[in-house]
Amino acid sequence: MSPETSPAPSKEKAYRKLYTSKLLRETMTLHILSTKTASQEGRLVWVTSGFPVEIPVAFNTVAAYPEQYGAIVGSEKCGPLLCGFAEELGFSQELCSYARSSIGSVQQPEQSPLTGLPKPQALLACNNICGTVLPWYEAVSEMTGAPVYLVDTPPLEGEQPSHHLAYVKSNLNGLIEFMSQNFNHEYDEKQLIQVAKLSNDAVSLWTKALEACKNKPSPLNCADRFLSMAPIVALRGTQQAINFYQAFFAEVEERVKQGIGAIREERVRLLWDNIPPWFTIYNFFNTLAKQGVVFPADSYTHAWSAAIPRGEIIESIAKVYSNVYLNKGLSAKIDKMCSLIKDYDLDGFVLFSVRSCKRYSIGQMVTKEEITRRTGVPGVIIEGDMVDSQQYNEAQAKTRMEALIEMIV
Amino acid sequence: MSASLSYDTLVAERHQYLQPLIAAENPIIGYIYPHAPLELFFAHQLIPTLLWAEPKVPGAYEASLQTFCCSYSRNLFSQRAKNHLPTLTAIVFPGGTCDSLQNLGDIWQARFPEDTVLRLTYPVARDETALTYFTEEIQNFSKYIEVSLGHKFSMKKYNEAVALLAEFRAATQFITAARIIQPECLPYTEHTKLIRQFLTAPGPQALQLIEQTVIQVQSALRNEQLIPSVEALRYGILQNNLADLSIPLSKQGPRIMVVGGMIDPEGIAVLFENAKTSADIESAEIVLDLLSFTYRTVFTSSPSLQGNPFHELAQSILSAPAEPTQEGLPNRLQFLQHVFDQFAIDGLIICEQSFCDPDQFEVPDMLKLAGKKKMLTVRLPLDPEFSDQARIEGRLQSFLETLSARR
Repeated sequence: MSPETSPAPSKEKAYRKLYTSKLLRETMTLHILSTKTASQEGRLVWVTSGFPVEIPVAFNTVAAYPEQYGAIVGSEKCGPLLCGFAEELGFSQELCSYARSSIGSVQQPEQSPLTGLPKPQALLACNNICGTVLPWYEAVSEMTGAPVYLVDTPPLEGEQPSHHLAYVKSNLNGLIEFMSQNFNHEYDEKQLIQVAKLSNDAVSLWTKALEACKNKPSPLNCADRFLSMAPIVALRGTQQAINFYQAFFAEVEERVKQGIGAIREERVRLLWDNIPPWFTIYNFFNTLAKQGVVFPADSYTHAWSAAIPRGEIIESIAKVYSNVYLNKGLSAKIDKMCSLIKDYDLDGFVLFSVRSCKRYSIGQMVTKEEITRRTGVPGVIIEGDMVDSQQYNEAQAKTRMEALIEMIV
Repeated sequence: MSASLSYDTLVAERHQYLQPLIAAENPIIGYIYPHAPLELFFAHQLIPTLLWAEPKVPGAYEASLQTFCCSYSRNLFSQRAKNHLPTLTAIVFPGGTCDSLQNLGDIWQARFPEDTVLRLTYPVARDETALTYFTEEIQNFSKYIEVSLGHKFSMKKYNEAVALLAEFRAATQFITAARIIQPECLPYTEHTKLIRQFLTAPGPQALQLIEQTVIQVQSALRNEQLIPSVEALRYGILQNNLADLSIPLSKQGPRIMVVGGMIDPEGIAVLFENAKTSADIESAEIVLDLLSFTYRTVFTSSPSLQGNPFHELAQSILSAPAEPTQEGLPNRLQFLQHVFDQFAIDGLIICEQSFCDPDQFEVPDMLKLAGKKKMLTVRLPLDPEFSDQARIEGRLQSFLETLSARR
């Protein structure tokens, strides 16, 4: 096409920024400040992303998330530097980069974004997302002196048997005892029920926003969801999370009503699997947006869409946190992804094979074949990491994405 | 200089251990994680065999597993894909021990649907609630074996198996304790081979070989009146109480210890012997390893014949010492400190299985502790194929030379 016949380039960007991104920034900035204050006051806990945070919140502690901090490290593009500090201590480069960057930031806070997470008074891990969380938190415990409490949720196959539920409940009761002892605060069941209600309200708004992406065009792209998930992870069980998601969902609804998509011209709808490469999140998704590729659904942000069911509160919490799909084996994950492809009317899928995350990634080759067999849509695996950009090959990712788009268009 | 020991030769020998059992058409159940309920398998008339990595298997995992899946898992998968595994009635995968093995079980089921894949899920704790959970888990597992394989639980077979395994543990505990005191009493290569033979084809024949060795070791130690010390040490290890022991240790050396997880001890023995020969330091001895297939298996307490078998089995398995999955890091480090203090360790070999999270997370704390004791350490990045054997032996040789010069 000659320059004379080319359409005039539009001034509108290929992707549309959310108005609520400003509120998101403010909400998370306030949260970061609250973690600093909480640390000074002796009531800061570090928690893993799948932790039943409603319990520590009910004990009036504030939760900071090392995985979320890892996302900040990644997006600030200082993953290799911080991971390097952990490697100097002897941690292998083959270990999870969330763990390495977290350990690196504890070792060298002055060289870390936000001078690292504030010092914790306790480290709360739940292994429903992976087995790495325990040795990671044990390593941080050795460095900070903060005690570790593990909520053990052994992996499930199918329905949760009664002895499994009883075991997880006893772990949660142990957590209550641990919190009472370490934070000199009495357990108040009414308070926990109230926190669980706030948590469910936020989850409900978040889930509605995710489900709005079934519309065409999709009101949200992958990067929108990955960034907007911050409060559902870090502020679950608080009014601040509800305040944010009320505004967020209102914007999403408005987009749907007006037929405004997350990207300017939606041609291809894909599913994303796994944590994103934080260090190139805008570049990756916005480059694809220019080619008309949108990701209306992903397996990762949907992990925070399960509400605590009604019933005895500890049992309800035990049920919801045991049944996280990462804790339920490969077939549960494949089922979930197939239903997302069907429900969101997707044309294909991208499996991001994250070297750091064995629980999430190992099995993706089988997953790819099985999803295509069941749904008929093509998929591609791209390799890399979420924080350590040294383990990501941009050219290879681009080539594979191009091949997938060619198969679809 | 003697000829190098060949790991391949040792591996070829292993295949022979199982042959009589296969020829007799015994139903064989394969397991991967060392802390499997072996007595339960026997009770269901199944012969358990520990599935080992095979160094020479051609890679056949690439279409199913990523390279960052632990190298042990990749090796086992390749063995299955290339039909290198023995004929198995079923294979047991552990749940809750590490992410690679957790996912491998699912992938195995998808890729080899003709295999009977069983799963036993472990708690990540060893308190009363974990024991209750694991008791139920083993009981359900037993029911599942009955239903899926048609092998009923026999109390008579269970009792026989408890006795067999208890004798195996007592005998190998004695040898291990004897070697800590006087490593010259039995070469490490022999020690690891005996354990390997039993775990590959457990039965009276393999036990007899171990018991004959115990008699030989006792005879060697009796002259020096060391048997009471060996028994006291063995008891101290079982009670996790080393602090108050006074142990008469052999003055020869350097005295070396090996740490790591699911690394093949026989492979380490070969590498070490070859490095010793190259460095021409015959007196250097591995006095103790804390690896999964030797120390951690051997010093697991046996189930009692009194009480509910499932409860006793759960208690036995959860007693496995130094397991990263069940035992908190502070306990393991404290134990290591006692070992360093009491066993006069001069040097530490730290094995890291490629992409093994439990192994790799422990290394920095071990290095720190060894550093405090001014102990010489060497890290060995390993895969089950020992694909980098020459380089690893070179590292070991330098380590031994430095250690020897220091002494």
